[in-house]
Amino acid sequence: MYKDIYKDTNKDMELYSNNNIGSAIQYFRDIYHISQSKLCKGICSVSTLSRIEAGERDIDAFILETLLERLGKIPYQFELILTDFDYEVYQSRMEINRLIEDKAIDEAYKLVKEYDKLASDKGTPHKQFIMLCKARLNELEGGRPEATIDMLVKAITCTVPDFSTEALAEYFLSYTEFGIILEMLEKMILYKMVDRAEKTLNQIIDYMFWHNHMEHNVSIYPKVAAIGGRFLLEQNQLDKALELCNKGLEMNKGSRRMDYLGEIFFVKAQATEGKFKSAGLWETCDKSECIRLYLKAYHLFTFFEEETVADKIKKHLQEEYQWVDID
Amino acid sequence: MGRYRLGDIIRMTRKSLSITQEQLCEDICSVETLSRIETGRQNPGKDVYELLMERMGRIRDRAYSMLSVSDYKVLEKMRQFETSIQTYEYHRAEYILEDIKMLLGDTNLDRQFITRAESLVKYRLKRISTDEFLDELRKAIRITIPRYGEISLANWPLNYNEVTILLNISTAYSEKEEYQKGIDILEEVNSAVKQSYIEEEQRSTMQVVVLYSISKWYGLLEEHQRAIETAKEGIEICREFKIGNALPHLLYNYAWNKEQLIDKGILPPENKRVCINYLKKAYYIACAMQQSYMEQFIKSHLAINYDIMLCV
Repeated sequence: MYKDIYKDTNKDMELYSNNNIGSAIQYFRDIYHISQSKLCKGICSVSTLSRIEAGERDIDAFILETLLERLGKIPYQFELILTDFDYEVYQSRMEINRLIEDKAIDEAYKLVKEYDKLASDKGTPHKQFIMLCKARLNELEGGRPEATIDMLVKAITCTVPDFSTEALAEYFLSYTEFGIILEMLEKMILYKMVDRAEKTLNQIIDYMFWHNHMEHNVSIYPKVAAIGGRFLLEQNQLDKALELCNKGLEMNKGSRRMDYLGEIFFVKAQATEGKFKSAGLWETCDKSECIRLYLKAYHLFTFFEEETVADKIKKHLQEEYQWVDID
Repeated sequence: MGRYRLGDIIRMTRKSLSITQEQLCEDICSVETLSRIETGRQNPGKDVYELLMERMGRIRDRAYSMLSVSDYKVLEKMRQFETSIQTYEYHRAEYILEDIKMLLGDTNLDRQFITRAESLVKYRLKRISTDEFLDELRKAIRITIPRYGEISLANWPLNYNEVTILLNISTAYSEKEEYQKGIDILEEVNSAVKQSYIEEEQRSTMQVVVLYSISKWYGLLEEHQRAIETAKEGIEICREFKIGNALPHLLYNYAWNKEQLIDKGILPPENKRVCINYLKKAYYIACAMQQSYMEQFIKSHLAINYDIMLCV
């Protein structure tokens, strides 16, 4: 008797919680005017999403997370009560990430293989995670750069099937998906694949333009500005670099994060200086704007104990500006 | 908020009350079942979960009401409310709150939010006194922690809303210049938050705010050494998690308290060099974070106390 009640309430609880998350997804989808097919593309079928929204189905937590993330909701804004399976998978992900960070390549490969067995048939977000790990491990092993990039493309294609052919702006990307594309951009820049990098950066900027209202842009834009700004500066596209930096700073206003600020100010300082120089105004211009930008960058880098960059800025300020009053 | 299992919540709460599994589960379920629930090998039924939580003095709802639809729908409005409070737009906050009230249900957490938010707006608009404000906040916190005031919260699994209320309570004490009371509350909050299961980013953000207040109040109580140590702890968290909003304040607190020790002759004047360095850092980081008030404040501090004119 007791057992029966227990079973019923347990079921009731699962329905109850999933139902709420389903209607939350529907609610946010409605306010952002995103169609079902756009939201779930690459993650699950429209009919599955309908069922999720109606609260009829138990959902894999990572599919749920990707959907929420595509709506600009970061998972920690929500209570996700994990099932035991989800929890095991979640723990396994944390462990793999830790191993990769510690450069324990063999152990990481072993766990990725286990993860593959455990979750690869549970949905595209899991396949994406596996491919992402393989890309990172390939790089750690000193594998071919092209192979790393290919794997990253494969990873993003798991949930964004026509990533390479169709305009990115059509999608609503999750924070994780966007992170993979940015990682790809960073690698392309690192390996001097200039054309591909430029194409990818333009895709990203285009995406940001069309998705300006999404709230997670606040955390994404500064990163794009730092990476893209540095690349454009190196390509001597100074105006475009400045524009990107300014946009990044605008988005960071009121935020509590300061992850990429140092690099943004450094790029902005160099681009501003470069513009004066290329216009032949260097000898006569007011340099205080540049000094201020360099000083902001310098203090941010020293605070984070990134001495190499900080020293570079300090030396530059002393030599180019005869500015000694730094610390 | 974040990812966790009901079992985690039960285990944390039980540990915070220092009771054994046997004491907790008597007449509710077997020790073996409780053990399986706590380690996540079994999900508790809703009734079992509620009975266990009730026995621990935590009224049901903790996990469930956070999953209520009303929460999601008002999530953004709640954020707008908090932003209005932070930017001192209290009339706007009051307006948003009216909207929220129409959408919210009658769960404990909903009532807790409303009680806190209403009293906060009324207090900031000077419609109630500090003591009345404190009374309302105590009512709010007792909705989920009935024995607030009698027990230590140092090991309590506080959630985000509770931390916010406790921050408000401590601020109210500080406005009555009862700094020690404010510090005592926040020291407990700090210890609870440190070991809580809240998502890392959110936890570190809360810790920074808590440490900033503690260091400020220690400074005002002229316990400068403790103020410096607390500020340092906060600065380290900012460094680790790259959180910038309270960083200029923390750097300033550090420098200001050192200055007080120099003035009192406890620290040798050579320490002024460090103060200037911290203040400059605070200034440029405030600029980078686009906090114009803090920027001006530190700039004039450097001008008045050290005759230093920063590059404009």
